[in-house]
Amino acid sequence: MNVGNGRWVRFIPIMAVVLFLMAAPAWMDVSLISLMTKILIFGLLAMSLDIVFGYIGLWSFCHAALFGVAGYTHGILIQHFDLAPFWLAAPLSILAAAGVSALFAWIGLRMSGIYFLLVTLALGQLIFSIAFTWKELTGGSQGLINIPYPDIGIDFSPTSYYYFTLIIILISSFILHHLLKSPFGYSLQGIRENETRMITLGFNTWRHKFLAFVISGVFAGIAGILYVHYNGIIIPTGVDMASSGLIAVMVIIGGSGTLWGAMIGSGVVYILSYFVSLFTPERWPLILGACFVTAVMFARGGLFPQLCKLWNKVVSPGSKGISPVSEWVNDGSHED
Amino acid sequence: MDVAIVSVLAGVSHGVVLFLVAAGLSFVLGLMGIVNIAHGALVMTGAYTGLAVAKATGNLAIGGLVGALLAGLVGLLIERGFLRNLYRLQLEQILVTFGFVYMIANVHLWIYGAWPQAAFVPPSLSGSVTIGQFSFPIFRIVIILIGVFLCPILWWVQDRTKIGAIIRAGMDDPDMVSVMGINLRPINIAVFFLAACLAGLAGVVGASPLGGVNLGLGQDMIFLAIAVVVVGGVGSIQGALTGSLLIGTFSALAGTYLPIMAIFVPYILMLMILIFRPKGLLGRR
Amino acid sequence: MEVMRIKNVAKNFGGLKVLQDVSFCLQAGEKVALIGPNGAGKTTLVNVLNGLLSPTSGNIHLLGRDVTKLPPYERVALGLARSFQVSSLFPALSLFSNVLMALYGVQKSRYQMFRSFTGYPVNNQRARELLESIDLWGKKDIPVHELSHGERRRLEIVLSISSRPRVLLLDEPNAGLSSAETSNLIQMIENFAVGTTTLVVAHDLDFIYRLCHRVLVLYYGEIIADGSCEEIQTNQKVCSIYLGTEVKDA
Repeated sequence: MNVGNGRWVRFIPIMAVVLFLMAAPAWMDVSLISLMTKILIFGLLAMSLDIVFGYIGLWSFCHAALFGVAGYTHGILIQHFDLAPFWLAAPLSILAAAGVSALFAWIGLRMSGIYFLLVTLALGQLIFSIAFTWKELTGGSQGLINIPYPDIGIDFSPTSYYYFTLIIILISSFILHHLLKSPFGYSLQGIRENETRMITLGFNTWRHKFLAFVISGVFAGIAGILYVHYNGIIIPTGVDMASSGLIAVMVIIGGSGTLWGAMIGSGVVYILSYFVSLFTPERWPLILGACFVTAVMFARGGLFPQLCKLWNKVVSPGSKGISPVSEWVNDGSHED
Repeated sequence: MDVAIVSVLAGVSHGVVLFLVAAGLSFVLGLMGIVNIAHGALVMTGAYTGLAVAKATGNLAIGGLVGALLAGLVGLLIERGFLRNLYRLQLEQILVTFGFVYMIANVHLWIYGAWPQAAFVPPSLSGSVTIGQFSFPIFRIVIILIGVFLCPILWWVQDRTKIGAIIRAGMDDPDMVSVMGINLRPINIAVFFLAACLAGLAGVVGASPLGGVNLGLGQDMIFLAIAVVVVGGVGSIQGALTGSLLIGTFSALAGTYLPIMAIFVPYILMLMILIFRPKGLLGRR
Repeated sequence: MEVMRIKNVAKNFGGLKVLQDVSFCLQAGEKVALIGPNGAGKTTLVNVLNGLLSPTSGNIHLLGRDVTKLPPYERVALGLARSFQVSSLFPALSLFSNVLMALYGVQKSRYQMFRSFTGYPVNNQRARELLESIDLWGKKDIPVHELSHGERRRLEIVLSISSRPRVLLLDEPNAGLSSAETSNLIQMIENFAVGTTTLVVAHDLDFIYRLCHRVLVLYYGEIIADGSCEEIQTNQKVCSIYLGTEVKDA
């Protein structure tokens, strides 16, 4: 019996993962829960990058900076301005991230390819430099420290904060998934595939790219806010060029243009990091670099498409026709 | 006045170091379309090893040579082993070089430890000249002289030799060049190798104005090199020179008169160029 | 009724004058061919009409409006569409998505972020009709990069006409097609572009004579002839350009 055509089948792995995530703290110790929280937060950041990087095909190397803008703003509001209520500081921080994204997009979108990469690189490093030099506000190289858990009436612990993060990540992922399945989301892929054609079909591609970049910045900002509460500290090196590069690494390893690949990439990087640091923490960057080079050389599509193919084989062993991955993720069935 | 002169001189010496790093990056980008993110790590490779050798032998020239060659070899390894299999896949090439940055930095941490390496200045060249009430290290003047020596040679090769013409043609239209029967592949490899060597040399020689060598050098240098290439333009000696001198001198002047802004000089110049003249000041295209 | 007026359009690339003082009008419903030797500037002219290139001088009016400075996507909104000489499709996306994308190009819902891409039954239905009309509904989920050349050309045309344009620019639609495929193409254009003002760039005179009633001849960036098919066939200048000889009366 060919089970694979039912749309419900696609939900099974999703449900399994969600159930796993919800039940995990029951049998994990604090360090593992902390690891899971970190994976979720950076997974969201990587997903936000994938919108621009994988779906539009713009090589953005500044997302750690956008993450940082929200994180720092949030931390500064809480510490320097005593804007304790989370529900006031968070939207302002997201607004800051959105504003900076808009500025970056306005400057960078007049060019593409390598030049876009270089612009975003410069802008990202600029944020880093500001964070490094504006000591009174950002704490300089020491960063902002002692940031407490969100002040929303709950007495947070690592476990309860994990659930808080999980809820926000699930909601964000849901929104992003539907956004990328919408006409607007598909227009981004159209731009990646053939921007000239899109323009000739009636699309104001600059506007689409701009909007997408700002939306991407919003979600990077959400990740930033979750991060400062999770980590308690935010330092400049967390928002520099190398960090932006690491996010790109996650997107590539997981599979660019698939959205979920980004989360998987985050998982791979941090789980690997966790295990490596049990044995040789000092050699982690070497191993990460080697894994990355290997992934780029031999597995350019990323892990997620391979997992999809595997799942496809499991549920419909006879079937041959596998829709293009981009469509698979966005529900390849068109029998509406 | 003396302050200004000293600042400018410091800026020029800094600029020469940047030029050595950026010229190679610029030509590799123009000729092969590769943004070699690991280029900064090559500077670090040359610096660490070259300085170690220089200190062991007491001879900076040997150290410089060793540093340059080692950096060249590492660069060659990256290109021949990895980048050539990613022909025309620009993003993948960038990402692979990015992966190498992690690896090279960590290898250096492994071998040399986390402490910064002090620069090596040969005793014969240490000491300083006095300009007004300020003293200016002789070694920095030597660096400037190295630049004065190397730059015209490179410029001459670019503009007046057959190989220079081939390289410039290869940047404009590689397909046409091969149709004309010229094999660009060995030339590309040679340029990549030389670019890496220059970077290594810059690391050894330039450690002094850079204030010593540490593990962050790779990232700092690549960013500055990119800034130089963006400001000066891709694929020309004069572009690399212009960009590096502009960034070097303005950074130094800012350091003297407006220290807070010093760190921002490369960004400001880079962004201004990207907004108003994206091809760079003196780029090939 | 005049739908498009091109007046004194010139296009230079640095010192190279590709188009010089091109002027003509298109009347509603006309099917006009644009011919000329290679390098005459035909694709450049189409790019200028379409908005991908701006003219160095001159102006273009579409349906009464001056569109000279308008970007391509705004001209599309006014009813202009164009196909490319080299098929310009979305390789990684399925055929169905390609056609849907074209449909959204002229709809406000292209900015829609909440409903699904395939969540508009009207669009789905129309996409289905379009694909069925070119016999490619069976391949609707296949990514475009797996199509043959002829299939891609058919899809290319379909993308252009999907917006139900008032004015259609076809740049060598039969490039690389066999004669059987070309016949099908003519059928397709006749079906879809009924009543649509069409400018077709082509080399194949048979193709042109079957489809069009009027011919513009472009030579080194200048319109050297503008007339009916019969007039062009016997035009001395045109013949000497194409054949290098003077025409003898048939």
